[in-house]
Amino acid sequence: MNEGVVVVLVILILFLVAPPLLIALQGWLRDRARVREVARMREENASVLIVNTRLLPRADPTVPAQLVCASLVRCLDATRFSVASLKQLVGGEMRMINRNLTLSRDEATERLRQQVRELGLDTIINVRYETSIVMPMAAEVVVYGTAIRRSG
Amino acid sequence: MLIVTTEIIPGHRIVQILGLVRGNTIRARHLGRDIMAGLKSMVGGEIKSYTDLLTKAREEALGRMVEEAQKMGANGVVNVRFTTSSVMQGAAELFAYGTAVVIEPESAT
Repeated sequence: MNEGVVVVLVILILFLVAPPLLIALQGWLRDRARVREVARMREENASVLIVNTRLLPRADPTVPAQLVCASLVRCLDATRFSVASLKQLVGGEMRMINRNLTLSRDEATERLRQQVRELGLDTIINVRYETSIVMPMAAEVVVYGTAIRRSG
Repeated sequence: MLIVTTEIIPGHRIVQILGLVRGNTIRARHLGRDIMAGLKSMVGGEIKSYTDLLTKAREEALGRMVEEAQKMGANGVVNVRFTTSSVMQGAAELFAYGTAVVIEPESAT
């Protein structure tokens, strides 16, 4: 009788509790690695100035300007998404979704700066952000602008 | 801290451009409010509770942007833009971004 209860408990843990926890854990570990990677990229790209004004700073007229664009689609893992969705019952800020989206934007921005650095330019002007939903759990972030070389 | 949606501030000179600053917040709707809003959508008109909710959230996004600008040592943010998107069913994201600058009043001369 007692053994039966233990077997049921073990099966319950193995098949119902463990998978969602593992999914959340791998998602969390992966995100932490991305945050470190983005921080490393930010240091690398520190020389690239990024602004959303059209006219400041002045561009060097001898170097042609170029359109640059970077985007990425990222989704939260199912477990954390489900936990985050619970927040909808009470309203308020959804920090988990916010962190995910902020990380997406950070990474897209750093990819954009990387492109500009590889082009041999040093400034991105008139930067715009777009966000769109491609799946219930996944959001696309697009960042685009004009790469120039600063004069003076 | 001066926050404007224009690229230049009349009467001020931009001394230094510090770069892009951003701030965002994601708000879930309240279940109770949802039901009220659902009823309201039958008769039409402004949904006050949602207006308030989004206004507060937008202020918070702007506040976070300003915080980031202050950390960079800016005393102004120019060319501020707002975007709103629904990141999931029943949740909205408010996002504000602009360019952090150091400004000084233009001398009268």
